[in-house]
Amino acid sequence: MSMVISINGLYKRYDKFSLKDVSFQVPKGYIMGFIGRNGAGKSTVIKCIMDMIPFESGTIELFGLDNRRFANEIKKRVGYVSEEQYFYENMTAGWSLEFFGGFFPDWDNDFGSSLLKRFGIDPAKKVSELSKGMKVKLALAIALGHRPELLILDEPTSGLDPVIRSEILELLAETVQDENCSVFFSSHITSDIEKIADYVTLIDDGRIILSDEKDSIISKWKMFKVENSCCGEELLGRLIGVKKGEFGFSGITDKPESFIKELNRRYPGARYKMENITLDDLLVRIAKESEAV
Amino acid sequence: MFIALSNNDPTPLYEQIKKQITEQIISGELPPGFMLPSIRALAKELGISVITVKKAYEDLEAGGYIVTNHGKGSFVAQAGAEFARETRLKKIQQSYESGIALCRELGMDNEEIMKIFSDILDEFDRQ
Amino acid sequence: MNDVMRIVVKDFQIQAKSIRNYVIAILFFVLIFTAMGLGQNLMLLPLVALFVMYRFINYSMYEDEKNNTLRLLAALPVRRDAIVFARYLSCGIFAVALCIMLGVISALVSPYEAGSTAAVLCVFFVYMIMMSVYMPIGFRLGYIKAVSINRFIFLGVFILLGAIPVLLGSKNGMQGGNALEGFIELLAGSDGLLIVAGFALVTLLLYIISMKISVVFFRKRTLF
Repeated sequence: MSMVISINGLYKRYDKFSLKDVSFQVPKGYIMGFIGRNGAGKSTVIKCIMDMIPFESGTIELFGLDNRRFANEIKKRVGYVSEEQYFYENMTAGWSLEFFGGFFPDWDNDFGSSLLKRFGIDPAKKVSELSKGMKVKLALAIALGHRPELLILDEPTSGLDPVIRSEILELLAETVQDENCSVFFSSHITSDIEKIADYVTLIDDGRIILSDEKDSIISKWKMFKVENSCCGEELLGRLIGVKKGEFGFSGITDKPESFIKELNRRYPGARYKMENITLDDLLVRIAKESEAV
Repeated sequence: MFIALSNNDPTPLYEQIKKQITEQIISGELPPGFMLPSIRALAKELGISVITVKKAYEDLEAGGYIVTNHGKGSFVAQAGAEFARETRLKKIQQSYESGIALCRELGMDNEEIMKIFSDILDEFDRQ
Repeated sequence: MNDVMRIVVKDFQIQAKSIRNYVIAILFFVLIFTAMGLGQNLMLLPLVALFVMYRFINYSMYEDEKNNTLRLLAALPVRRDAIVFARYLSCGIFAVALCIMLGVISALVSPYEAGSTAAVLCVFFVYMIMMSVYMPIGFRLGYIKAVSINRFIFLGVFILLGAIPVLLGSKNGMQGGNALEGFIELLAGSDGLLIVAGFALVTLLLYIISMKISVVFFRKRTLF
């Protein structure tokens, strides 16, 4: 399986925050969701990938090319949508589409215009008159209009209503109908990613916690809710993101069998419940765990 | 072909897909030679991950229900429907056997067993 | 090169309305000055033109930076050199176009032909030199930080022009008055053509050097 994005040992230092040893790969032809809470470093990683900010050490390769040396060649094959939209507010949507799109050698203006139509954007309307959702869709039209091999989206759905969100997700699924196209998008709305992502990478406080097939994650990780009489340190230590309550404690683990074994060994007959987790649970519990440290 | 996934169902999504396709193969709704939608097309239709659908198709192929021709697509296997039916019959046989074994343990004779069976059938028909 | 031209066209399209307003404003001033008499005409028109050019470049930078549009351009396959080159080109084209327009107007209105041509050329040179100083600062610091520094420079130029007549006046025995007048007298003089050629070369060189510096600054600048 070939990798469309390959990140190795990425370090980036800011005053109050840094990326530490970020490494993961995005397989070609699939959708990877990049999750983490606000401030975890998702945008920073994406900006490093797009060579928009410098970084101290590590390598980033797109299509097997170094992202700094071949930045321009790479950008011709990538469609990018940032968290905030940057347009000339006094110009029309149609003008913006043509102006920004025209920098791509493979730009297809008819296709771009058809996308605008499909999104319900009036090309004669000024950008300042568009709602936030429309601006995101305009940015998407520009990103898709040159039929990129890779779509990189930074929080494309934050602040948008569920209707537009589901439209955008459908668009992403359409993009990977072609096996040569891949999507990498970050979001703190985990439910979006839970639906269509093939792979998920989780980042917390500048570090990659996991990067795996979404189905594997959902099947490997389980949530345990156990009665308080079992509240021993050794057992608690086997769970991540432990939450203690009046009526029991809970936590998650990726080794459910061994946890059950240990639980039965130490506290035979103890009451507990094992549940499937959502990506939300994963994010919250892992964040909780890193806070506790 | 009709596939509808349920969020309320605790079974994993790929299992749901497998089950629904298998049922339709057995019932004959998807005859041998029928071309299934491509993995990616189905994933988009259902709004789920491509890998999930891939897993379902791979399992179906391993089970002999479908055949995948790289580049052409996935088709319901010739032997698929028959094979599926046989598997089902085997399951039915096994459940009957365990039921009968239990009746024997309780000391029932054939007449009593038949009575229980027809009573249950009547219940089923009433529902 | 294609990219550069697209950005140049963009700079004009963005300000299309403003440019129309500038032209109207200039025509308006011409009317006023003609009504007041020729003397003022020669002087104030170039200054108005200078101000208009100052507004043009300011607005160009402002539009690019107020919405952080440069950030979007950073994600596209556009080289930063192209962005810089396009800015210099569009400002240069604007200056030339404006000066030609001025020249035509002055020729129509003022009978003192050599003087009006000289006035126009004078404005052009001053503008080019100002831009050569102004733009690297803009590319280095970004519009918001650069704008106050550039206002200072703009004012400084005006004051300097006021100080020069003393030097010129004492050197060539010309009457005092405004520096601009003195400069214009110089250009309109017998050696005018040579001086013009000399100045043209120097300003062009300055402009090009300034552009190289801007490229270095802009390449290093983090837009985030």
